[in-house]
Amino acid sequence: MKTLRMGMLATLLLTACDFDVPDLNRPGLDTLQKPTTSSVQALATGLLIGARKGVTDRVGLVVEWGILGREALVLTPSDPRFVNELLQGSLDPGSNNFGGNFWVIPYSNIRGANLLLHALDNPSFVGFTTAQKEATRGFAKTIQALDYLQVIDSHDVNGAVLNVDLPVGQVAPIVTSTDQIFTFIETLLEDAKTNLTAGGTAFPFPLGTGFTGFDTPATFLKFNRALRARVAVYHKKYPEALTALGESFLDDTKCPSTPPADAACRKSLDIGAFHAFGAGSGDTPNVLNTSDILCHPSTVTEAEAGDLRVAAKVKTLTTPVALSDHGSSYGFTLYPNSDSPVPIIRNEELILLRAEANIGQSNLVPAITDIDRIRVNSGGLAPSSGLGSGNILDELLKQKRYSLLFEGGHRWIDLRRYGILDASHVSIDIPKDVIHAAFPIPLTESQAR
Amino acid sequence: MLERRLALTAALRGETSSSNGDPNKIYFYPKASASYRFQNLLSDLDELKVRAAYGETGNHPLYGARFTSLQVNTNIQGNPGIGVNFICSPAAPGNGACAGDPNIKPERAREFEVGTDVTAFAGAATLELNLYQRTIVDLLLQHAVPASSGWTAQWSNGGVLRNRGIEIALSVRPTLPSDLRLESTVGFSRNVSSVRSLPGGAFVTGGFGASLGVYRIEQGASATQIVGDVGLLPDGTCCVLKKIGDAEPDFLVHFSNRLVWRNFSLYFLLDWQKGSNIINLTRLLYDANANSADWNTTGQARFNHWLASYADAYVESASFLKLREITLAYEVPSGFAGSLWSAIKKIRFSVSARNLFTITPYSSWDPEVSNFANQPIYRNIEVTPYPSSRSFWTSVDMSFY
Repeated sequence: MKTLRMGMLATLLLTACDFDVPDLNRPGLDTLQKPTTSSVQALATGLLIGARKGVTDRVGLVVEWGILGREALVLTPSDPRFVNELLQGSLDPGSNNFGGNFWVIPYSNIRGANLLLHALDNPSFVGFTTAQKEATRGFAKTIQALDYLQVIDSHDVNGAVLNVDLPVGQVAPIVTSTDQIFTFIETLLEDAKTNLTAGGTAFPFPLGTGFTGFDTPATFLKFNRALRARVAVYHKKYPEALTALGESFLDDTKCPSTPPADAACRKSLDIGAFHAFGAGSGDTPNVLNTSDILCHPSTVTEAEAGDLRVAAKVKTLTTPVALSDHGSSYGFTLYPNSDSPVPIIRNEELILLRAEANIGQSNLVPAITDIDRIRVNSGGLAPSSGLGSGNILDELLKQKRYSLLFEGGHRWIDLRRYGILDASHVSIDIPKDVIHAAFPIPLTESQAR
Repeated sequence: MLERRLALTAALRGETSSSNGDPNKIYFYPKASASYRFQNLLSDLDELKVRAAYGETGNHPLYGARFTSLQVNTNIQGNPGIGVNFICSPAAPGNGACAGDPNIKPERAREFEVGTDVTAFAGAATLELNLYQRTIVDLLLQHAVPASSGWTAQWSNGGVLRNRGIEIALSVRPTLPSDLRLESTVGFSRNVSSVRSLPGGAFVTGGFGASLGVYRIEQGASATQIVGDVGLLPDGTCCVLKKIGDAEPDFLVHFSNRLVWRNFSLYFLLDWQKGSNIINLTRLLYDANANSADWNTTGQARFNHWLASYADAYVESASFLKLREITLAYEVPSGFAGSLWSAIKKIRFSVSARNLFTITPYSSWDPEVSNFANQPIYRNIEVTPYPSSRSFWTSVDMSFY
């Protein structure tokens, strides 16, 4: 009986002390209940880190979407799936590295943006001025739109989940209407515009060299408008696209549509927003300069003679690579270093988007002028001739192919949008190769619902 | 009690931990056991002991499982950022910044065991027999959540895992001519696991993807089952997902023997594993490059089977019989050793070998392989490992006093 009493006493003593230890390893949702200036700044910077996550990986979007559009090839003896899943067979919802990443990576960053937006709305957060909060909101929503765009670019009619700002475990439906998804992204970008317009003169956190020239709320808005124009073109809302382009950083002033080409124009075409990379500790390097990432031979063989873009972006390898009945003797020179930036959107694309919107409106004259600006200055080619409503789209897509080569699957996405992702537009190497149109919803989503 | 024939124990343990959702709550775990010895029941039966035990134990959540934390150790051009890390896999428990559960509590294992120990023929033979059932409730697991939430897994308590097994060990020391001695032990074990309930739904614990085979926790299935693609769905899209193997063996047998003749002794240990599967991606890589030894006979067909979205093409049997160790020793007669130097008590020369041979249908080096190091569940995946070493030893042991 005495022992029992002692035991009960010990138990009472134990109960009396408080073991409640907070998370000492990392900041978390608990921390964000009372946001500090530094945690909100870090969360904002984290969105840039999340947006570039996996972009340059061999299993990232530049390479894999490039493979699907036959801009690139990966022939490596260490993983046959680059051929057997991406060029043949069918895309596997159970392969994280062959599709699954284009779902989980953007959605984790979308969650990050939602956490940031909640922290900014938290009444106890007083570290930013009202204008700074607005600027940060506009930034977060713009990056979020970019992430949603990655989901729809990779999954197309297979769908996307839109309203994901829910407690973990609760799920919103998968929306398969691309119209609804594009409208959702457009609304996000318009909301962001409103926020950025009220965002004062400076962001309360650094945006890094990837956003040089777009690092104030006013100039970042021009990047936002550029994305808005791309989404509008994808959505076939051409008047909206032209309006957005007018508010973007589109600059054609240095670009004549007749020879001679202007070096200043070529420089202006490269102005844009980029994913930044670095080799420093904790930073992410650009790893696209790997010997098993090859340029698809059709990129060279189907180019117009003398196209300077091929010479500038593609190199001939001393040793051709062949594997599984596929081969190439070309590699890319676009990303030579570990800190080479990867374009998000550039002036060159904006000029081509304007041409595309004008074609959509049947305004062929301004479209031809823009196509020629790119042909003459970027390609070093003669202006186009004989373009009419029957062939102008093919010519535009060809210019997009070479101007935006290996920058994030533009060829694949563009052909799919016009329903011509077929053997007459995409080079099939061997009979058993197929052209995949979109990644399936991954098992990490469908099986957990 | 009862002339040392009956033993009874009982205990109650209370535990609390700051890694529980409610760090101040005390969790109680009882245990009890009983055994009874029958002596000299029959003429040659020295002793028969029957025993039964029941116990509950708790396993605390990992520190951090109650928090939803963000990834911190990254920067962009030196500007530090924090963000959501979708990877929260059981492969790196505690390492990833995971979605947590503020109400997390310990998992509780309930083990019931019955057994008997028999000694017979004046100690020349002993038999141990054990039957157990271990049921873990409120399993601590990182169950899958839809990836559109930003995380692919979240800590939670849920599910019931049951392990049932049998262990038998028989040792004999037969009576032999006076200068010959033999000690022989054979052990048999078999374990069957089953996920009895899994409220959060099935999820993958490890592997490279369904096209290559993955380990998946699923209600009603073995915890170590391997699932993979087995052909396309009726609508032509990828893929039917089915069980294509299991890492858990049907049974294991250990057979150890020590034979002593005068000053010589011979010891060897044989291990036999029946069943168990391995995902052999080494073979896939050889096949993919048309370099496998059997490419012209069966390799090409195997590879084409895989190309048609059949992950079972590279799942192989991991049955084996291994001579794990063999030792031959000679002990110098103590009188002779002592005559060399009085301080020497014993001199022993021996030669031994480990991993001398393996008989297995497995096509690669060693059926005991794990690409992801020491994992409880998804061990049996092979991607071009080094072969395990075969070692030979010669040694001279001297003892002094």
